[in-house]
Amino acid sequence: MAVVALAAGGCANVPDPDGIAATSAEAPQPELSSIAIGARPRLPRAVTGSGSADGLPEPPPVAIVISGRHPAYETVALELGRRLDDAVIYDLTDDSLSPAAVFHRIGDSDTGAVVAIGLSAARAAVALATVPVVFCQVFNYRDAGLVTETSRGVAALVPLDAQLDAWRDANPALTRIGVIIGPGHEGLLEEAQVAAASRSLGLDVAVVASDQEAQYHFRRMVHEIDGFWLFPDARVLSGRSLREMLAQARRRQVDVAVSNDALLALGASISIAPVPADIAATVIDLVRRIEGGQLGELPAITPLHAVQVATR
Amino acid sequence: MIRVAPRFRRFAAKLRRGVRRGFNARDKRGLVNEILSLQIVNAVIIGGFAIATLYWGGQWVLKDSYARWALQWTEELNELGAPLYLDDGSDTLLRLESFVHKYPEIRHVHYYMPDGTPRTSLSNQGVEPQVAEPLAAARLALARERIGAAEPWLFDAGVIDARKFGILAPIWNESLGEEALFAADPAAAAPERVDLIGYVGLELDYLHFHDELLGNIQAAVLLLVVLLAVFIWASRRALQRALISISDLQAPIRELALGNLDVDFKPAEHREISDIVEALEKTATALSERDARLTELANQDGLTGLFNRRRFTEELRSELAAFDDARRTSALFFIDLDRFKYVNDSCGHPAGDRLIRRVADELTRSVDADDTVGRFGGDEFVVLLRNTTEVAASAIADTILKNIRRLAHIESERVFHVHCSIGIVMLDGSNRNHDDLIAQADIACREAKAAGRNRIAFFEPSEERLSQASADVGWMNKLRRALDESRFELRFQPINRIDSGITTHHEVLIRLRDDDGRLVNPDAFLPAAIRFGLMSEIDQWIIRAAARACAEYDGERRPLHLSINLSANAFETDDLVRFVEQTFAEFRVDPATIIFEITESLAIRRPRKVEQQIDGLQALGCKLALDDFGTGYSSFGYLQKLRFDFIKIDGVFVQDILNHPVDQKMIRMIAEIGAEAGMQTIAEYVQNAESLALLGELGVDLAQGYFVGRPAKQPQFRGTPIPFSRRRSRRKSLY
Repeated sequence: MAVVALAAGGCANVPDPDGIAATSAEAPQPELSSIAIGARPRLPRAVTGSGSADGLPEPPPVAIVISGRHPAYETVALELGRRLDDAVIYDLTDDSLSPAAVFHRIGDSDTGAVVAIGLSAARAAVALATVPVVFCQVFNYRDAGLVTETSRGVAALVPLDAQLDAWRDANPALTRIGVIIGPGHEGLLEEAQVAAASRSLGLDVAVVASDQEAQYHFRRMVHEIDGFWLFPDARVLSGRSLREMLAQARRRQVDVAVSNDALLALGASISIAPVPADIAATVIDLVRRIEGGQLGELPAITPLHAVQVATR
Repeated sequence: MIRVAPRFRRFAAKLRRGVRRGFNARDKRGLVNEILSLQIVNAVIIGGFAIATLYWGGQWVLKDSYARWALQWTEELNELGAPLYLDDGSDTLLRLESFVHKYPEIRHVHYYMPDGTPRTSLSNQGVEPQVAEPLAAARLALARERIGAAEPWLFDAGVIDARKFGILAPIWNESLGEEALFAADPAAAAPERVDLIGYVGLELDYLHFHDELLGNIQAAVLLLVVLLAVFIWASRRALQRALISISDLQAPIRELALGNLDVDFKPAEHREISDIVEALEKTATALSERDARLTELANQDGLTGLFNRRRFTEELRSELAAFDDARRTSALFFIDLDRFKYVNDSCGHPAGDRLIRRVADELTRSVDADDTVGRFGGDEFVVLLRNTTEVAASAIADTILKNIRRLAHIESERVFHVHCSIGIVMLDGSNRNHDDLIAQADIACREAKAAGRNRIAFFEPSEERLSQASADVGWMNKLRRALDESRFELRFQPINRIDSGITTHHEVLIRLRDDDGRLVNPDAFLPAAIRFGLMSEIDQWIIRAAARACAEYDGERRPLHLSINLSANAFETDDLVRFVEQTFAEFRVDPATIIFEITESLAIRRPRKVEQQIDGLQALGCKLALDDFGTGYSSFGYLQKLRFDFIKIDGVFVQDILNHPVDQKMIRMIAEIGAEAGMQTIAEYVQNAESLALLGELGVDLAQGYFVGRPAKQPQFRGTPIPFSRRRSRRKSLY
């Protein structure tokens, strides 16, 4: 496995004072060509935000492990690399090193914490890392048992209130929203109910166990709603169900809100995604607090604050 | 079979007769029925096609629907049943029961575990306690292969053509990769996870639906049949209404066909029929006018406009039939002009015609409008005075005598006074035979002439007179019967060349076979035939019989040549030439083999009509002979004008030629003139060889008489001896 060092790069979207940034589907994405293989990233100190300039002891290095080279992961990794000194990025999809070897090397180093981006990376980190772990960009963290005594996470979604606000800004006529999700997200659903009720929005919820069931419910639900909130629960979504749901929604002129800009190209109406800078900042904050011995005081999942909105 | 065949033939014959009788009884097919039949055939074809389309189309749609419904249900049950394998909650079962209950065609739904063992079974009644049999391994394997396929199901049979069948489909879940939703293209992020969780099997029974649909189709067919019947009824009514104009024409046209031209045509509503009605009305009018004209021609004398013999006889018959009062009497005049022949001969036929017309006018003026005046031909007139007495009739007859006498007729600056003789017979109903009465008036007229002319004579019924009248009428009846029963016969008398003795042709002579079987010569019946207007018919009989004789003659060397003697009446008819032409054409007779003989008096008079007839006959190719030359006018000048082929020298000059030098000179002169004019001369009444020899010496070409040959039933070709001394050289024969 090759060590991937992040080259200097900026985030295209910086949260505005309200924590919401607007962008488009065509917004520039980090380019893989900007990642140099086999070198530590040399990031501007100002970006890392470390305190060495103040004469404080240098914080231990942070290892960044990503599940793969998805844009959603890479942008966060780049943002982290920009903000941290001596951050080393590992890509688990690189065949040159096995996950065990990666974490063995991390264990042998003076790394103080591991930041895992994506479910695979988080699973591996929780299982193999000998240092505290902060994971992000993981939706079904409970199923994977990612929250342990030495690991904490950052929410995969931006707060639902903020999402609904952004959605209503884009479509003021929105009155009734449908949600289909797999089991184990009662808290999320409760939050959604409260957020919808506070905005006088109806919310139809179906908890399903399979993609077929999701399709079945969607076919019935789509007649009653004018917006569909697609949470990134991969367990109950398949390629066929996703395509059919988006196609039906489009035929019936039902808005579909997603949390990944990439889904706009498939037919989603609006993407309300986390801001990579916000994720990175939250992650660093967690890492620092863990290094400061506050792990036990940290919540299992730390929420995000900013959103970026893209529409078709 | 042997016994059945004749029976079948009898039955077939009976059927044919029945059908023929049916057709005869019903005459022709009705137009309405004809059009209606066509419409019914069309409607039946279209209806049949519609029913067939309905049935087969329904079947096709049914099958297609069965399949689509089955697949849709399978898909939905697949989706609905998926949670069963994760959660045995009642919600899923309730949803399934609710779903299955909605569709009575789904008899059973079975869910199987991935290894084929049954998990849950449902029917219309709900969840079944008894689950199905486990799936066979082979079927399980086939079903497993359908996972992920575009058509992920298995039918019981390869083709969906049954009303009851089953479907088996695998149930599987797919889920995106754990991190696919963070990928750039989540839908394409592979691999997806596929988990077989079980199978769903449906047992479908469309019998009820099928029967219901068939019932509907049957009802539709019944409705179509009813509609067809209504359509036929309505069409018939509409057609009848549309064709009523044509129906209205039936009665007037039938009347028209029967000769009733005074018919009314109802105005038609339709343009096409209206045109027909208009044309029919014009036709009826034209026919009526033509009828009137024909009636006029048939009833009137062409020269004077008076009633002709036929019409006058009808009037007389009507008058006689109307006698119902013994005290009532009428009178019949038979008027014959005296000295008319003199005018005719002196000033020509047109002058005679003008005189006849003046006399006709005078007669018409002399009687009342109720009385009837007619012309029988020549200078013979008849008058019927209705409701008159003998005294009054006598007075009127005197007036007629006086008026005719005073009639000064001027021709060529010469004044002619004509007289007439009038025979009168009173009609009192005692004798209702019009022929008798005409004959009696004729006899009285002849008596008036015999008594000195220019007078009247009443018919006095003495035994002699009655006998004479009766004889005349008797002849007339005989002649009519002879015509009806073809009792006339022809005899053929040869005419031979004197110089060669060869028979050149025969003259046909008519004979009447009387009731006793004896042959009667024409001298006995021709006067009566002429008087009673039967000559035209007799002439036509002769022409036809002669033509038949020519056709039937089977002479080996040359065709039979015949000479036909026609009366003056024949030449006065309009259609002699046409009749001759048609008859000869019918019997395939060459007109050149026929010679028509006309009397000298008729030829000399040559009224226009006769002249036209002669020209017409010559144009056909017939030859002409001038008969009885020498006894009448004997104007040799006429011979130059007339184009005769033969001159027949009257027998008066021939019969005693040996003793009369004058006759010899006369005959020599006729023969020489004939030779100069290119005509051959025929001498009649040649009784012996000396006369024949002398005639030859006098230059006569042909001879006819008992010495040459008697009239015979069949044409005879017996030669005559050639005289020793022939002073005349032979001339080229016509034959």
